[in-house]
Amino acid sequence: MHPLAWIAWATGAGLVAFSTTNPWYLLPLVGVAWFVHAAHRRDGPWARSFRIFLVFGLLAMAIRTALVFFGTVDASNVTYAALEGLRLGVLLVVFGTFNSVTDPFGVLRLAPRRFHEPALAAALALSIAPRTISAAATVREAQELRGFRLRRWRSLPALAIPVLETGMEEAMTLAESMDARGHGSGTRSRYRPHRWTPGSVATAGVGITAGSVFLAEAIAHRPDLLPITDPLTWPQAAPWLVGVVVLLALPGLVARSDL
Amino acid sequence: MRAHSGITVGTRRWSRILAAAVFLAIAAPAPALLSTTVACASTPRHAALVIDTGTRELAYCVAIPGTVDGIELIRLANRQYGLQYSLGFGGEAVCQLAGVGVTGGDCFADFPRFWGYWRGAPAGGWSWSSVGAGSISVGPGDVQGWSWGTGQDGASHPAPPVTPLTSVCDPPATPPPDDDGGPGAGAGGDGNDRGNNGGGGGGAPSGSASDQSSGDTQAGAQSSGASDAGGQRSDQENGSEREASGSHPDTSDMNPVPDEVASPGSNAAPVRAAALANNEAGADLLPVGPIVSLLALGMLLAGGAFLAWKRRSG
Repeated sequence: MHPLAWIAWATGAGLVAFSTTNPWYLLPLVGVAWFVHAAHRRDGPWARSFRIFLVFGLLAMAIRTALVFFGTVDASNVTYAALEGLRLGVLLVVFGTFNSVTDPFGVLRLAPRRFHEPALAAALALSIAPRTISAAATVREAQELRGFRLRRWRSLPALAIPVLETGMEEAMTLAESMDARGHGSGTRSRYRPHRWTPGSVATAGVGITAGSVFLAEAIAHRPDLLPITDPLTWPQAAPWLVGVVVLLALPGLVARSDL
Repeated sequence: MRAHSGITVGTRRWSRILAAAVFLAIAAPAPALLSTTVACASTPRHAALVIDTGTRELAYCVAIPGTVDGIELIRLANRQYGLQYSLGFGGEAVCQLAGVGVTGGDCFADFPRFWGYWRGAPAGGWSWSSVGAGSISVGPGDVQGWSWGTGQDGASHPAPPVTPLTSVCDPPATPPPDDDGGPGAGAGGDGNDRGNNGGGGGGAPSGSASDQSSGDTQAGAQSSGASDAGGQRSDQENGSEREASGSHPDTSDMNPVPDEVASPGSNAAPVRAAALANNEAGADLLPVGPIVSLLALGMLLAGGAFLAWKRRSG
C-alpha cells in the first residue's frame, strides 16, 4: 500500500468526523475504523494503537461530558456535550486506525527534503503513544521482579521516570539511526519503492470522496450535520450520506497482499 | 515504619480533601435550588419578550422565578405560551424563533441574517446587546427583544418595534411596589408548567399574552383579553423601522385581531408553510437515515470481529 493512500483515507475520515456532531454519521465511522483496523493492522506493538486511541476517545468523551457539570445541567446541555465529545472521540479512533495500519516512518520518507526535520518530529510524536505503553508494561514487569508493587500513587515516580527515560532514549536512538541511514540527506533509496496498486488507488479515492462530500456539505451549512439539542429532538440523517461514510470501509475489503 | 505512617497520613489527607470536595459539590447547588423554588411559589414576576420575525411581531408576558438569563426566558415562553424555538452551540445562540430562522444547529448559517438580541428600557426603546443572551440576567420588569434581519450590529440590524413593558404586561402585574402581582396575573403567570395553550388562555384575561398572529396560539390570541392588550400597544408601534417586506400598513399590523383573520393574504402564511415543511421532513416519515446508520454500524462491527477472529485463528 502506498503510504499516501492511507494519509488520504485518514484525512478524509477525519474531515467527516470533524464536520458533524450527528451520531448517525459518527457511529458508522466508528464501525468503519474498527473494520479497517481489523483487516489491515500490522503485526507488532503498532497494532495496539487502535485500542489505545479507542480508550483515549472514550476518555475525551467522558471528560467533555463531565465539563457540563460545572454549569447548568439539563438534558440538552448534556446531550450537546456528549455529541461534541463523540466527535472528538471518533476523530481519535480514526487516528488510532491510521496508526495501526501504517508505519509513521514510511510516511516520513515521503516528506520533501526541506521538511524532513519537522516530519521527523511528527513521526516521533505519532509513535510515542504505543512506545510509551509498551515501555510502561516492561518497567512494571521489571519492578515487580525486584519486589516492588506498583499500586499506590506514591509509587508513580518508580514507574514514570524509567518510562520517560526509555522514551527519550528510544527517540534519540531512532533519530540517530535514521540519520545514519541517510534519511534527509537527499539520496533516497529506490529499494522496494511504493507503488500505486489498485487497492491503494481505491483507498485514496474513497478517502478523498468522503472527505470532500462532507466538507462541501459543511460549507453549504447542511442542517443535519449539527443537530439541534435544545429543544431535545431526534437528529435526522440522509441515507446517502450514511452511505458515503460506509464507503470508507472499502479498504477493509481489499486483500492485504494487494496493498 | 516511618514510610508507613507517612502513607497513612497521606491517604487521610486525601480522603479529607475528597470529602470536602464531595460536600461542596452537593451543598453548593442546594441553596440556589431552594431559593428559586421559594421565589417561584410566592411571587411570580414577569418580563416581556418581544419577537420581530421581519413579517410579524409577537410579544409575551413571561412569568419568571426570580432572575433568569436571556436564553432561559425563551424556554419559559415556550413552556408558558408554546413559542417555537431552537438553540444552537449548546444553548448559547438562537437559531429559530416562531418558526423563523435557521434549520439545524449552526445559527449563523445565513450569516448576514441572524437573530439580533436587544435589551429594552422599561420606558421603551432598544439597545443592541453585544453580549450573548446566556450571560444577561433578566429580572422582573425587564424587556428583551429579538429581531430577525440583516446587519452585524445595532447600527445596521433592524430593531424590534418600540415596546414598553406596560403594553405587554398588564400594569398591575408588574410594578414592584405591588407585591402580590394581582390575582389576575397569578392566574396567567402561575401556569408555568401547564400546557402551552392553557397558559396562554389563562393569561389572556389579564392581558399577559398578546400574541398577534401566531397560528399555534390562535386560541389564546382570539380571546377577548388579547384584544385589550393589543389595543393598548397599538399606539406605541412605529412600523417604519421594520423591513419593507412587512408591508402592511401599521393599522392592520397592530390590529388586535390576528393577522390571518384581518388580512387573509398576509405574510404569515408562508412562514407557517415553512414550519410545516420542516416538521414533515422529520416526524412523519420512517427514520430511514438512523436505521441505515445503525444497520451499517452493526454490520461493520460484526465484519471487523469476523476478520479479527479469522486473523487470530488463521
